[in-house]
Amino acid sequence: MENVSGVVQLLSLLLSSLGLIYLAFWGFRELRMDEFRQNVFRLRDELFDFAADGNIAFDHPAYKMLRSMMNGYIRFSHRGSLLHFVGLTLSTYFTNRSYFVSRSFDMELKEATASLDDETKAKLEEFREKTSLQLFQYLFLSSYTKMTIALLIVIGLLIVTLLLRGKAVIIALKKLIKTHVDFDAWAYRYSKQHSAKLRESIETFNAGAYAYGKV
Amino acid sequence: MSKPAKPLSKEQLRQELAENKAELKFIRQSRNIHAIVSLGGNLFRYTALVAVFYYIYLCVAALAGKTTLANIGINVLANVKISEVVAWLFGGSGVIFGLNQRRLRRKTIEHVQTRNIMLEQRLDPNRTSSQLTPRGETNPRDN
Repeated sequence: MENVSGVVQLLSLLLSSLGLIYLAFWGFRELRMDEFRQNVFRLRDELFDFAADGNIAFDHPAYKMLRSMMNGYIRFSHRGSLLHFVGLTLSTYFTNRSYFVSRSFDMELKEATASLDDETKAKLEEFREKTSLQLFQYLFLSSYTKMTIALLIVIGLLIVTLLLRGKAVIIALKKLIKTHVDFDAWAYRYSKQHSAKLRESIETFNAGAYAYGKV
Repeated sequence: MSKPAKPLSKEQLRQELAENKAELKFIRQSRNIHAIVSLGGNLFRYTALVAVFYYIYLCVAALAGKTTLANIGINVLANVKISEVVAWLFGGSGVIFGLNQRRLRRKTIEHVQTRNIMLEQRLDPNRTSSQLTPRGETNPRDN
């Protein structure tokens, strides 16, 4: 009887594990993807409203480029993952560099916006940065596993820096908390500032999304 | 009447061809990497599922020939704890709630987006699309 009781408890545990596996590998993954799509849809709608207000023509190359890029991200977000990001970055770096050296998305967009005034240029650049931030968040920060790893790394670095430059770190932290900075946006800006590889990788993904969006 | 586009020079055409080839190469690379990554991901996910089902089989095999379903049923009923029942009900109804919320969200997307597309096309007849389904799901041909 005790044996039966133990086995029944184990069966109960295994059935719960099935539920957790579904949630972890299918449920939450789909939810993060839908959230990313919704955020990019929101940016696309803002871009549309910006054009509808007369700031830029709907058939202007810069508008079409940004919209195609956003469409590409929305359409193929189900393929986006950190592994895919790393794999594609390495693959492009070693086997397809010529495309990005000769005619990057960045260069094409700059050419397209050359005829626009500074305010409009700045606004379009803002849309592009916000879309890249969404991508960064989706790839690096959206899953709980990655967030936990990121938090552990940050805490580790913080302890090391505190031991070396205690007072300066405390002042910087206080400033950060006071300004209620958005952690994701701060992490994105900080990473982009200090990593040329990340800048190039995001550029690669932007170009890829634009290529997919045109299809 | 719009002016006809200036014909491109040989050099420009060659450059455009090279760029298009590089772009196609990028798309192919992306597709290949996606295939490898999703193979690895699916292997990991389904291995976890198979492992759980295997242990369920072992549990059932351990009881086979030694006890009956009736005995198991009596054992479950005799040892039922209110806290466990409530926990199961909570978990189960949470999942059902989530699935229904998702279904409602997709219905809402279908309703709102159809209208949105129609209104946007009035302003921009050449409006481009993300090619998702009307319910906001991945297009089956993009899988």
